Amino acid sequence: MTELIPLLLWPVIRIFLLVALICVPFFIYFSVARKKRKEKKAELVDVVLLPALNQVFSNLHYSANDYIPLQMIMASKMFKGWSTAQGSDYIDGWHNGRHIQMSDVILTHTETESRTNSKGESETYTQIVTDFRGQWVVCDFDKAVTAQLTICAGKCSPRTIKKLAESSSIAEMDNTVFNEKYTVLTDNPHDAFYILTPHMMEYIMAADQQVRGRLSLEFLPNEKIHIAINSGRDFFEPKKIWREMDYEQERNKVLEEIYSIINMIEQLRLVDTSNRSG
Amino acid sequence: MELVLCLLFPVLVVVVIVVVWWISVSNNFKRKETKVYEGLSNIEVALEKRYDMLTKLRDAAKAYLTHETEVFSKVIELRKGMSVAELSAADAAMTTYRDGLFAVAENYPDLRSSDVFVQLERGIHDAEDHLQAARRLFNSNVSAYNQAIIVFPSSIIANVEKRSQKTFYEVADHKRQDVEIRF
Repeated sequence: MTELIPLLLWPVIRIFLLVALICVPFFIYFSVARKKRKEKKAELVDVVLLPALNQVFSNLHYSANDYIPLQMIMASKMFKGWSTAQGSDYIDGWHNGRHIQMSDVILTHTETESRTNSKGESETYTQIVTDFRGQWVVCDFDKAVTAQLTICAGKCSPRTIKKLAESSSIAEMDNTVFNEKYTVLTDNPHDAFYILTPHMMEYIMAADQQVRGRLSLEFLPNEKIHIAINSGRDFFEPKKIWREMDYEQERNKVLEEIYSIINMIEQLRLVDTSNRSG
Repeated sequence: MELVLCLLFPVLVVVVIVVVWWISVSNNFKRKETKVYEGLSNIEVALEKRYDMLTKLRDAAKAYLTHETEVFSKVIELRKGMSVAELSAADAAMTTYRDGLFAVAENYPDLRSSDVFVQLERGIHDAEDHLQAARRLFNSNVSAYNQAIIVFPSSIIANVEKRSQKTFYEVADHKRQDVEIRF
């Protein structure tokens, strides 16, 4: 009997060894790659990112592992239903006399679904759904609004609109093209027309083309504007971790990413409408 | 008896459907009309704000523009319940007055650079932004109302209720005319 056990276990052990033989190199590769990525990111921050950011922003505060304060994201109505927030590359600084905060942000929620398999048994599936992944920018806007004004990219589905419009109503603007591209939610339609002047609607559509991603905006009563660029990627991440870093190339890439945001802010002409608090 | 009921039932169903539809369409007209009146009220508020800012600017400028009596002798009438055309005329008169005041103030650098003037100028710009927003919102509501009452079959109910199309708020080109302005 005792001799039989090793005989029965042999196939199991062989399978285990085979799996281990396949998995271990992968495990080692990913561990080393993770470590290498961290090293490269630190190198990128020290040698490329911080000098580039200092070139663009004054009074700069940068933190690789932080993101836009959670309460700011929670105050926004742009994305509903998310339960977990993550982020990185938090930048807080001034550009052209304007206070700008930005970071990479990922908003997710978990969905559980019951399905019946081929045997007729009920199975529960859990999946993580990404509600937003991209860059979140918060900056000053000197026009005061009495109510929150949210501009969501694209024509939302009726379900999303219902979700978003729990406390707001949808405002139809007097620009057909803009209405086709965005959903405007507000408690006060007058504010929507006050902020979204014919020029502003054109600026938003032009700024949308400036960035690689879908643009959503939100104007808050505290004279802040939130801009969410759903680009589906993170900024300032080293791509080639096994090769020597080409500092000049990385610097250009970092500056290109920063200026895509800065140009988008400039495109919105926030400065033009400043100093008009009434 | 059963035959009568069988014939009456579909008729009754149709009548109920028509009545419900009639009420729903009529209520929709009323909702849209209310929005139009709200929009007009917003314009009144914005015009009053602009009027107040211009009055304050005139008062602030008086000390500097002692020789410019012509600027202060003009009249703008603003009262409650003005029609769209009257509001539009008052709006145009205010624009003319503002332009005149700013043109005269150009000759007085002390006035232009004073904190009060700069603040009031910003206030006027903001009031004008609000006015523009109120105008656009009103016109948008008028457009929605007018479309609702002309589209068939809703137009039948609109005709029965004797509803007519509302007038859009248009910025009258009064700049070239002589306008009597009295504060």
